[in-house]
Amino acid sequence: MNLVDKIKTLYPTLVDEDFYPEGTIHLQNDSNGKGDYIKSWTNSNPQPTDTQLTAIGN
Amino acid sequence: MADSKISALPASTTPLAGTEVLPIVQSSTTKQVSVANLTVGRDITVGSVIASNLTASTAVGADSNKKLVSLVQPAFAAYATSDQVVTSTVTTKVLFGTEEYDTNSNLASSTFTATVAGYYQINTGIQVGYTTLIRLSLTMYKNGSLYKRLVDFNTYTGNSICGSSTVYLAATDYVEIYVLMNGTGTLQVNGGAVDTSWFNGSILRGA
Repeated sequence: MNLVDKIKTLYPTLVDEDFYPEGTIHLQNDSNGKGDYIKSWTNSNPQPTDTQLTAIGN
Repeated sequence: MADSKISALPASTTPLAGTEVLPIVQSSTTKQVSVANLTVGRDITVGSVIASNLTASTAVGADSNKKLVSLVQPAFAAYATSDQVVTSTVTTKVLFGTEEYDTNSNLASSTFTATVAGYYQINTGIQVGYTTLIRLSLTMYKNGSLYKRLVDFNTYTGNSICGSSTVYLAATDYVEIYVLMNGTGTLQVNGGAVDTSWFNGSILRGA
Protein backbone atom coordinates (compact mmCIF):
# COMPACT_ATOMS: atom_id res chain seq x y z
CA MET A 1 0.00 0.00 0.00
CA ASN A 2 1.43 3.37 -0.95
CA LEU A 3 1.62 6.38 1.33
CA VAL A 4 -1.49 8.03 -0.11
CA ASP A 5 -3.62 4.95 0.51
CA LYS A 6 -2.21 4.54 4.02
CA ILE A 7 -3.19 8.09 4.91
CA LYS A 8 -6.64 7.62 3.38
CA THR A 9 -7.04 4.43 5.37
CA LEU A 10 -6.18 6.31 8.53
CA TYR A 11 -8.47 9.21 7.63
CA PRO A 12 -11.26 7.87 5.38
CA THR A 13 -12.86 11.29 4.94
CA LEU A 14 -9.88 12.61 3.01
CA VAL A 15 -10.32 13.12 -0.72
CA ASP A 16 -7.87 13.55 -3.58
CA GLU A 17 -8.23 17.32 -3.45
CA ASP A 18 -6.67 17.31 0.01
CA PHE A 19 -3.44 16.16 -1.66
CA TYR A 20 -3.44 18.76 -4.44
CA PRO A 21 -1.05 21.72 -4.42
CA GLU A 22 -3.78 23.93 -2.96
CA GLY A 23 -4.72 21.22 -0.46
CA THR A 24 -3.56 20.68 3.08
CA ILE A 25 -1.43 17.58 2.64
CA HIS A 26 1.57 17.63 0.34
CA LEU A 27 3.24 14.36 -0.45
CA GLN A 28 6.49 14.39 -2.33
CA ASN A 29 8.94 12.06 -3.98
CA ASP A 30 12.36 13.45 -4.83
CA SER A 31 13.15 10.49 -7.09
CA ASN A 32 16.23 9.74 -5.05
CA GLY A 33 15.27 6.23 -4.04
CA LYS A 34 13.86 7.26 -0.68
CA GLY A 35 10.23 7.02 -1.77
CA ASP A 36 7.17 9.11 -0.99
CA TYR A 37 7.10 11.25 2.14
CA ILE A 38 5.00 13.93 3.79
CA LYS A 39 6.42 17.26 2.67
CA SER A 40 3.94 19.38 4.62
CA TRP A 41 0.78 18.84 6.63
CA THR A 42 -1.73 21.52 7.60
CA ASN A 43 -4.80 19.29 7.60
CA SER A 44 -7.10 19.46 10.63
CA ASN A 45 -6.37 15.81 11.29
CA PRO A 46 -3.09 15.27 13.10
CA GLN A 47 -0.14 14.27 10.98
CA PRO A 48 0.27 10.51 11.25
CA THR A 49 3.38 9.17 12.86
CA ASP A 50 5.72 6.69 11.22
CA THR A 51 4.47 4.13 13.72
CA GLN A 52 0.87 4.65 12.65
CA LEU A 53 1.75 4.41 8.99
CA THR A 54 3.86 1.32 9.49
CA ALA A 55 1.07 -0.34 11.48
CA ILE A 56 -1.27 -0.01 8.51
CA GLY A 57 0.98 -2.42 6.70
CA ASN A 58 1.88 -2.91 3.11
CA MET B 1 72.64 66.93 -24.63
CA ALA B 2 73.99 65.14 -27.61
CA ASP B 3 71.53 64.12 -30.31
CA SER B 4 70.57 60.48 -30.04
CA LYS B 5 68.34 58.28 -32.16
CA ILE B 6 65.30 56.78 -30.39
CA SER B 7 66.42 53.39 -31.60
CA ALA B 8 69.64 53.89 -29.67
CA LEU B 9 67.88 54.44 -26.34
CA PRO B 10 67.72 51.58 -23.83
CA ALA B 11 64.52 49.49 -23.91
CA SER B 12 61.95 50.25 -21.24
CA THR B 13 60.75 47.65 -18.78
CA THR B 14 57.33 46.31 -19.63
CA PRO B 15 54.56 46.33 -18.78
CA LEU B 16 54.72 50.08 -18.24
CA ALA B 17 53.66 51.43 -14.87
CA GLY B 18 51.68 54.27 -16.39
CA THR B 19 53.76 56.96 -14.69
CA GLU B 20 56.26 57.15 -17.53
CA VAL B 21 56.07 60.37 -19.53
CA LEU B 22 56.06 61.16 -23.22
CA PRO B 23 56.60 64.51 -24.95
CA ILE B 24 53.65 65.97 -26.81
CA VAL B 25 52.90 69.27 -28.52
CA GLN B 26 49.75 70.92 -27.20
CA SER B 27 48.70 74.38 -28.42
CA SER B 28 52.16 74.87 -29.94
CA THR B 29 53.83 74.15 -26.62
CA THR B 30 55.87 71.07 -25.91
CA LYS B 31 54.56 69.34 -22.78
CA GLN B 32 54.75 65.99 -21.07
CA VAL B 33 51.97 63.49 -20.51
CA SER B 34 52.05 60.27 -18.57
CA VAL B 35 51.33 57.04 -20.34
CA ALA B 36 48.34 56.55 -18.04
CA ASN B 37 46.85 59.89 -19.07
CA LEU B 38 47.44 59.44 -22.76
CA THR B 39 43.86 58.32 -23.46
CA VAL B 40 42.06 59.18 -20.23
CA GLY B 41 38.66 60.69 -20.88
CA ARG B 42 38.86 60.14 -24.61
CA ASP B 43 37.12 57.68 -26.86
CA ILE B 44 39.55 55.47 -28.65
CA THR B 45 39.15 53.84 -32.01
CA VAL B 46 41.07 50.69 -32.78
CA GLY B 47 40.94 47.99 -35.36
CA SER B 48 40.82 45.22 -32.79
CA VAL B 49 41.83 44.49 -29.23
CA ILE B 50 43.67 41.40 -28.12
CA ALA B 51 43.42 41.07 -24.35
CA SER B 52 45.61 38.47 -22.75
CA ASN B 53 43.32 38.13 -19.70
CA LEU B 54 40.37 36.95 -21.81
CA THR B 55 39.56 33.40 -22.78
CA ALA B 56 39.17 32.75 -26.48
CA SER B 57 35.66 32.14 -27.84
CA THR B 58 33.83 33.29 -24.72
CA ALA B 59 31.49 36.18 -24.14
CA VAL B 60 32.94 39.31 -22.59
CA GLY B 61 31.59 41.50 -19.83
CA ALA B 62 32.85 44.05 -17.35
CA ASP B 63 33.77 43.34 -13.75
CA SER B 64 33.27 45.75 -10.85
CA ASN B 65 36.38 47.67 -11.91
CA LYS B 66 35.04 48.03 -15.46
CA LYS B 67 37.73 45.67 -16.63
CA LEU B 68 36.79 43.40 -19.51
CA VAL B 69 36.61 39.81 -18.39
CA SER B 70 35.53 36.54 -19.97
CA LEU B 71 32.05 35.39 -18.99
CA VAL B 72 31.13 31.80 -18.26
CA GLN B 73 27.70 31.26 -19.81
CA PRO B 74 26.23 27.97 -18.68
CA ALA B 75 23.74 26.18 -20.92
CA PHE B 76 22.31 22.73 -20.50
CA ALA B 77 19.81 20.32 -21.99
CA ALA B 78 18.68 16.87 -20.97
CA TYR B 79 15.82 14.49 -21.61
CA ALA B 80 14.11 11.60 -19.86
CA THR B 81 16.00 8.40 -20.52
CA SER B 82 13.01 6.13 -19.88
CA ASP B 83 9.41 6.17 -18.67
CA GLN B 84 8.97 7.30 -15.06
CA VAL B 85 5.95 5.96 -13.19
CA VAL B 86 4.57 8.28 -10.53
CA THR B 87 2.15 7.72 -7.67
CA SER B 88 -1.18 9.48 -7.98
CA THR B 89 -1.34 12.78 -6.01
CA VAL B 90 2.34 12.62 -5.02
CA THR B 91 4.40 15.54 -6.28
CA THR B 92 7.34 13.80 -7.92
CA LYS B 93 10.65 15.07 -9.22
CA VAL B 94 10.96 14.41 -12.94
CA LEU B 95 14.13 12.64 -13.99
CA PHE B 96 16.01 13.73 -17.10
CA GLY B 97 18.76 11.18 -17.17
CA THR B 98 20.35 11.79 -20.54
CA GLU B 99 22.32 14.96 -21.11
CA GLU B 100 22.43 16.57 -24.53
CA TYR B 101 24.89 19.21 -23.37
CA ASP B 102 26.00 20.77 -20.13
CA THR B 103 28.57 23.41 -20.91
CA ASN B 104 29.59 24.19 -17.35
CA SER B 105 28.86 20.87 -15.65
CA ASN B 106 25.96 22.32 -13.65
CA LEU B 107 23.49 19.48 -14.20
CA ALA B 108 23.55 16.39 -12.00
CA SER B 109 20.77 14.00 -10.97
CA SER B 110 18.25 16.11 -12.93
CA THR B 111 19.10 19.13 -10.80
CA PHE B 112 20.60 22.29 -12.28
CA THR B 113 22.84 23.91 -9.69
CA ALA B 114 24.21 27.31 -10.58
CA THR B 115 27.86 28.11 -10.09
CA VAL B 116 27.52 31.44 -11.88
CA ALA B 117 25.09 33.90 -10.29
CA GLY B 118 22.65 35.41 -12.73
CA TYR B 119 19.28 35.36 -14.42
CA TYR B 120 18.44 32.09 -16.12
CA GLN B 121 15.83 30.95 -18.61
CA ILE B 122 14.57 27.50 -17.69
CA ASN B 123 12.34 25.41 -19.96
CA THR B 124 10.73 22.01 -19.64
CA GLY B 125 8.24 19.81 -21.39
CA ILE B 126 6.86 16.38 -20.57
CA GLN B 127 4.76 13.80 -22.33
CA VAL B 128 2.44 11.94 -19.97
CA GLY B 129 0.93 8.48 -19.98
CA TYR B 130 -2.41 7.63 -18.32
CA THR B 131 -5.87 6.18 -18.84
CA THR B 132 -7.76 9.13 -17.37
CA LEU B 133 -6.29 12.23 -15.83
CA ILE B 134 -8.20 14.60 -13.56
CA ARG B 135 -5.24 16.67 -12.36
CA LEU B 136 -1.93 17.47 -13.97
CA SER B 137 0.40 20.04 -12.45
CA LEU B 138 3.92 20.78 -13.72
CA THR B 139 6.03 22.94 -11.45
CA MET B 140 9.49 24.40 -11.13
CA TYR B 141 11.19 24.14 -7.78
CA LYS B 142 13.98 26.41 -6.59
CA ASN B 143 16.11 25.28 -3.67
CA GLY B 144 13.62 22.54 -2.79
CA SER B 145 10.51 24.70 -2.72
CA LEU B 146 7.81 25.54 -5.25
CA TYR B 147 8.97 28.45 -7.38
CA LYS B 148 6.57 28.57 -10.36
CA ARG B 149 3.51 26.59 -11.30
CA LEU B 150 4.07 26.13 -15.02
CA VAL B 151 1.02 24.15 -16.17
CA ASP B 152 -2.02 23.10 -14.17
CA PHE B 153 -5.00 21.20 -15.58
CA ASN B 154 -8.03 19.90 -13.71
CA THR B 155 -8.91 17.58 -16.56
CA TYR B 156 -6.37 16.68 -19.17
CA THR B 157 -6.76 14.62 -22.32
CA GLY B 158 -3.68 15.58 -24.29
CA ASN B 159 -0.20 14.19 -24.67
CA SER B 160 2.41 16.83 -23.86
CA ILE B 161 2.72 19.99 -21.83
CA CYS B 162 5.54 22.48 -21.54
CA GLY B 163 6.39 25.57 -19.54
CA SER B 164 9.18 27.99 -18.83
CA SER B 165 10.23 30.77 -16.53
CA THR B 166 13.11 33.03 -15.83
CA VAL B 167 14.71 32.69 -12.42
CA TYR B 168 17.48 34.43 -10.55
CA LEU B 169 20.01 31.97 -9.20
CA ALA B 170 22.83 32.80 -6.86
CA ALA B 171 25.79 30.44 -6.90
CA THR B 172 24.68 27.12 -5.30
CA ASP B 173 20.96 27.82 -5.92
CA TYR B 174 19.32 24.96 -7.80
CA VAL B 175 16.22 24.23 -9.83
CA GLU B 176 14.27 21.03 -10.44
CA ILE B 177 11.07 20.02 -12.20
CA TYR B 178 8.21 18.31 -10.37
CA VAL B 179 4.93 16.87 -11.57
CA LEU B 180 1.72 15.91 -9.84
CA MET B 181 -0.74 13.61 -11.57
CA ASN B 182 -4.06 12.22 -10.42
CA GLY B 183 -5.93 9.74 -12.54
CA THR B 184 -6.33 6.13 -13.49
CA GLY B 185 -4.14 3.67 -15.28
CA THR B 186 -0.39 3.77 -15.07
CA LEU B 187 0.53 7.39 -14.49
CA GLN B 188 3.89 8.20 -15.97
CA VAL B 189 6.20 10.70 -17.58
CA ASN B 190 7.21 9.24 -20.90
CA GLY B 191 10.86 9.09 -21.83
CA GLY B 192 13.29 7.43 -24.16
CA ALA B 193 13.57 10.06 -26.85
CA VAL B 194 15.17 13.48 -27.05
CA ASP B 195 11.86 15.16 -27.94
CA THR B 196 9.56 13.48 -25.42
CA SER B 197 10.26 14.88 -21.95
CA TRP B 198 13.01 17.43 -21.65
CA PHE B 199 14.65 20.06 -19.46
CA ASN B 200 16.93 22.81 -20.66
CA GLY B 201 18.07 26.32 -19.92
CA SER B 202 20.82 28.89 -20.07
CA ILE B 203 21.97 32.06 -18.42
CA LEU B 204 20.42 35.26 -19.76
CA ARG B 205 22.71 37.72 -18.01
CA GLY B 206 25.00 37.79 -15.05
CA ALA B 207 24.08 39.05 -11.62
